[in-house]
Amino acid sequence: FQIMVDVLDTVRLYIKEMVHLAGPQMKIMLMDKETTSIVSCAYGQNEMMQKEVFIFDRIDNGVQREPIKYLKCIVFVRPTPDNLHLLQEELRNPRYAQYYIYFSNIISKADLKMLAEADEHETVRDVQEFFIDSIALSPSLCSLSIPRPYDHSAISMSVQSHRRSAEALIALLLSLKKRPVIKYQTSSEDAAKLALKVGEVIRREAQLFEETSLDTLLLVVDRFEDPITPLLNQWTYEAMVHELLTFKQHFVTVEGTKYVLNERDDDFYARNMCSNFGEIGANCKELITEYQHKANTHKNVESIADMKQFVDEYPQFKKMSGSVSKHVAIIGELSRLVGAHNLLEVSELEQSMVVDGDQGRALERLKTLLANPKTTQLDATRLIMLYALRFQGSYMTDPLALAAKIRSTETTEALKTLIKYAGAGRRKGDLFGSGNPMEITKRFIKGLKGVENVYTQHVPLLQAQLEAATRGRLPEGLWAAAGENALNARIDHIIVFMVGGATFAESALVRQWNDKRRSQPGFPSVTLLATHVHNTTSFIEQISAMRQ
Amino acid sequence: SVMTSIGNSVPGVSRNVTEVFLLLRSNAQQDFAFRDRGGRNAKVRFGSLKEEEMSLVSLEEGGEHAETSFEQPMWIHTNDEVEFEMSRIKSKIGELSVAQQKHLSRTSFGDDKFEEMEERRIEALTDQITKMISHAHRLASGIKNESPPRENRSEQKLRMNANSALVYSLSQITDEFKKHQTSYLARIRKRSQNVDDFLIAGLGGDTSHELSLLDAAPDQEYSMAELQMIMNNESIVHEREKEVLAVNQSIVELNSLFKDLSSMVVEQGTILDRIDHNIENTSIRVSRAVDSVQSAYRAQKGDKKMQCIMCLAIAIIVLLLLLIATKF
Repeated sequence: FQIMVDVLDTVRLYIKEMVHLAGPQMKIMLMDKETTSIVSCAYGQNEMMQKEVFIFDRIDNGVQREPIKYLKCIVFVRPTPDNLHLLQEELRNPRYAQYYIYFSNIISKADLKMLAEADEHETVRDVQEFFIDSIALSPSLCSLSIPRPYDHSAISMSVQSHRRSAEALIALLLSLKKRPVIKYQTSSEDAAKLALKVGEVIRREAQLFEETSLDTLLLVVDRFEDPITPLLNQWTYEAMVHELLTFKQHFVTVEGTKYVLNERDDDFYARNMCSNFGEIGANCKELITEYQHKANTHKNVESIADMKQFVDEYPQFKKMSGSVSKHVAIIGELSRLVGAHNLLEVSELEQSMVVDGDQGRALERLKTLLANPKTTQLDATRLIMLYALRFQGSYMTDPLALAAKIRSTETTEALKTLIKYAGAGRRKGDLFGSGNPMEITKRFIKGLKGVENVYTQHVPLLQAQLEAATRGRLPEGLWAAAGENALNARIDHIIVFMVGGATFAESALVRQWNDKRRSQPGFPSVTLLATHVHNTTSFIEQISAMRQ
Repeated sequence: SVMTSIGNSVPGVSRNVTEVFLLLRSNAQQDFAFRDRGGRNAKVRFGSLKEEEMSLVSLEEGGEHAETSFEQPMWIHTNDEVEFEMSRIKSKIGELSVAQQKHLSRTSFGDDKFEEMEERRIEALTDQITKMISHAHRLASGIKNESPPRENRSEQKLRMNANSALVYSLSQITDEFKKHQTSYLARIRKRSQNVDDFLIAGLGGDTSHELSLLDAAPDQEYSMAELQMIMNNESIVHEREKEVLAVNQSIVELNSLFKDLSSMVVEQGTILDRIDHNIENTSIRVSRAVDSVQSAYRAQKGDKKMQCIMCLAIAIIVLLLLLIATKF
């Protein structure tokens, strides 16, 4: 039996405890912009209403709230100066009977004093620090939802996003009760700064870290060491939804209709989120057949017994029909886009370019695709970027000349920034496995066997990093330790922080890794925390924002 | 040193700073009182006097206000009543379940008075629970439909949400009861089926036996006993039929009540169940409402100006006419 680390479940337990501490009676919950996302991704409104929390509101949306003096108020906010100011105002003119205040992170004594002074009506009953400071999107993935963490005119993080990242990491460590050994990529200043900051806070807040376990490794990695993954077309349900339709905290919009895709209460999605596109199509067909069968049995309601059964099953049936129409709409749109944008061909070129690395063939096909009217601007850009990254130093055609072909100054500018941000001059890692004899052998064997699926050959760099970390063989020059050096116990858990954002491809990889732990004891579990979950569009926007 | 306690009630670390907060709060209040009493500076004194006065006013105002809004609206009492009723229903279902179990496990089918009493009791309990559920349902739907006077928008939202949560728990209890009754029904049916099978098998055996006897000696005394038995069985079957009907009746009654109750099941996992979506939507609605109020106000204001201009223009014309009439 292996203990699984589940960040989503952890968040849910913290929220449940808040509500429990506020006790019986009707309650309102006040949140800020970020904590609203945290709570919404963990709990449905109906579920909260069963716990007598009937009203939800933002403390920071500037809307005048009407007082309801017989309500208890649960406040769950980040301890930011703005929120503290708003909370002080709230306490000076309390709208509700009692206040139960939970901060998502450490609050300073000075801030606590200010708040205490504002509590003239003595309405505050409980003040605690509950360490949930990032959005748990799934059991092993947390996001800060900062799409552009970089300073303008620089390729390093802004002070603000740097602080935010450190806070989120500290909170994650505390919520999982871990005091990790910290390792960071030496090529990244951001990773180093962040790792050192986290180490410093752990030392300073020794009291909070007293009862934490020492079986964890924290890897602080930077997106620029693997700029390939976010530039590829993806073929799992979850990643495709994000790549083609944009997936924002479980929301996706198709033809003006907003849907929620959440593995917590959507069985079909939970089963298929990591399946590839072919499987999803087949499974969706099955779902429709099952639905039709049910609909038909419901059609011939003849006897009283039929009617009774119908009434009993009606809510479930209605729920199923909602779910079916949702998935049919989404999958239908995905397959339309795959056809319209010629994505199979585009994806095949992406994969062969990155994995095989045959420049002559790649260039020829790239030129054909750039001339194809079906190829979108985005796909043209991603192909040129992949070409530029893959063959840097041995170009047969200058990628800038290719970019000029598609007549987009945006692409040209972004391409320049990309090379500065993630080019061979900055990367230290072996992204394409060219120097690694193991990789070369693997590729050779693969070449003999033939590939199973041409669209999913590429494996994110994270896989190699996790393997190396598990074996305790992170290359010396590429990684350095911050803070406590020795790992006392066996590594049972790895937390990965990704500066510059992760992708759903990496999230799926972490999922697989954790599934392996279920069957193979001794495998460390993995949690991924990132500044954002990118698709290609948002990744290119993040790059474009750097030069402004 | 900061007094804190690190809690164990959550899976991860948490830090309770309530005690520190309360200490800081009482310090702040003492400081305030001290400054208030011993302040030599006239300005401070004046300021604090003014503050005191203001706080008196606001207290009075607040007091009045508080009295009106501290008083819980009637529907909350109704809400509590329904909740109490639900706990009673739960215990009654437990009672019923015990009685039914006892009844089913009885093996003899005599004309036992005791058994009849037991059956009556089960019937009465079923009836009582059905009535209680429909009563609770009536109360709950009353909450939804009766809006108290001077209720603001937030209070209305509270009432609606509290009501749908209440109705949901009520429907869950009802479902539980329905399932319970359905399974009881199935067991009764199965049992009477067994009895029938047994009787038919028994009769079958007897008839063949009878036929063989018939040739030998047609007799009456044996038929009497058989007839008696058949009569008895028929009454048992009839009895069962009645029971089945009664249970069915209660289920049908409940079904008609709870047609609209399942919306929460359907909503689960959809956009309507998302807290962030709902907050965003109400804030949009509120800001739109403010906008429309403002534009209405502006339009009204514009109207007033226009009216003023018209009035003055008419007055000028009238005066001009008067001037012309008197001068010429």
